[in-house]
Amino acid sequence: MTVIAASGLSVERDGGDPLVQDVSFSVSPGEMVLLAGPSGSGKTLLGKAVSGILGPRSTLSVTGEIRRYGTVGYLFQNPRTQLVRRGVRQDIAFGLENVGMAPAAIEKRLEAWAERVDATHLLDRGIDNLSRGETAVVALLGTLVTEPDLLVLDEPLAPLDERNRQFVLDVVDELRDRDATLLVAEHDSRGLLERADRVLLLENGQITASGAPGALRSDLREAGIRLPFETLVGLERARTDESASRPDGGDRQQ
Amino acid sequence: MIRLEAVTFAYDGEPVYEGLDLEIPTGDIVAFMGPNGSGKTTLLKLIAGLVEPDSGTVTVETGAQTDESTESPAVGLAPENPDDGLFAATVREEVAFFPRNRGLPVDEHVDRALERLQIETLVDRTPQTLSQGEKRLVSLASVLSGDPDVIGLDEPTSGLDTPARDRLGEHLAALDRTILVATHDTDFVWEHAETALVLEAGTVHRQGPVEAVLGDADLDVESLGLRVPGPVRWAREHDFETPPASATEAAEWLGGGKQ
Repeated sequence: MTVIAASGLSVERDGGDPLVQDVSFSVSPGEMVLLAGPSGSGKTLLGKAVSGILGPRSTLSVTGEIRRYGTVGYLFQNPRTQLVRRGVRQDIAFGLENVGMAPAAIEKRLEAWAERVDATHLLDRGIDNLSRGETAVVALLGTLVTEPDLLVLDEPLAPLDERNRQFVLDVVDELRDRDATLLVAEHDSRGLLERADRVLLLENGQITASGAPGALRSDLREAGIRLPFETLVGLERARTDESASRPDGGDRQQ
Repeated sequence: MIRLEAVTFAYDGEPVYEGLDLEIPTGDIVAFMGPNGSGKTTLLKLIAGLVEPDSGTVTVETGAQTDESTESPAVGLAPENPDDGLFAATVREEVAFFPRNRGLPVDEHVDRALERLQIETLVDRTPQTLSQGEKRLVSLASVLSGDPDVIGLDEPTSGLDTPARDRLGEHLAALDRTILVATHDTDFVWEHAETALVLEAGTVHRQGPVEAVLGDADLDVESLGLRVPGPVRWAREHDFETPPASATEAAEWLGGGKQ
């Protein structure tokens, strides 16, 4: 069973190099997949392509197959761009109003989700008076209230201070507890690696490694993905142990 | 010295600073840290002259100035959101704008900035079509290319992968300029900055050498919206008095290299 499946997916700039090249993967219900890749590796394009929001445009062509077995919610890298109304409450309601939900039902849904992610205090604020982290959470709420089958988060932690970062990670935990399906694009794995079920490593538009987070730490480091310091120390120790056990010499050989 | 005296500033009646007094030494890499909304960006804008204080004075004096000079020192600022600063048709044009305005040799300064950040391959691209991380690098290059006396960088490592982040840090360390970095990235600060300035709700909570501020076990870094730098956290967890310089050194210590 899958929520989304991409097969032979490529995104090309007209007359230019492929930005995403022959990518195939799927995401299962309840799974959290970390799409890790260095800057410019194609994470955002891939996330947008599978979400169906790349849209037809003159400069890009998308080929290959994407099958979606449900709805997709998307959090943009700059979440401010997806807030369209002056008030937080009104903004979060926007998506539900567009599908014709009754105002009373919208209000109930909105309050319930705000409470779940501990953001009730933001509901009556203006969107211009939100911090970066609050903006991310409000944009995320606007997506969550539509209760999508797959949630795609594009670098949700990048601009956040520790407090807001924890706020968003708590939301991720809450979603994990509720068996939400998540595809998270990031170049900084801290806080996400331990939460993910699976990692896809994207380099130069291609998936170069995939697997359990623990098995991919070395590949991630080599690709320039940011890892927690203790993980880097662990990798260094493993490297030292490996070279010490080799008969042709190592750091610990006398 | 950069000096703010009794600076008061408000956005639409919302006070950010009320009577802020602050002296920042020039020639250092100075990190402005603090929670979202603590006034880091506003402080950069005040120093860059992009906003004027409602009252009080902001004075920027650098060693590059002579007594006879009547010109103010040049201050360049890379915005938090790189889209806010990108407007040219190509990356080359974008990065050329600042040195051209300052009457500097354009090609030399552009090439150097692109090379230092290793984004030469983007030179003919349209900035608006780049990925967010690439836009960040172009935005940084377009300030560095102008070689201003004071370089203000707002969240410069946001969206950058590890190699790009390291290149930026090494480049900044090699510059003989005053560099003001507003950031949440305490690991970057730990590795590359000299002075830490922690802001909280429009006041200076702490100011001093980075090691003394971020390494202070009595400072509740997390309550200030900051993360304890990786090496500091690691040293505390493993009962080492001083943080290791690198993950390699930490691994050596665990292997018995340090008692």
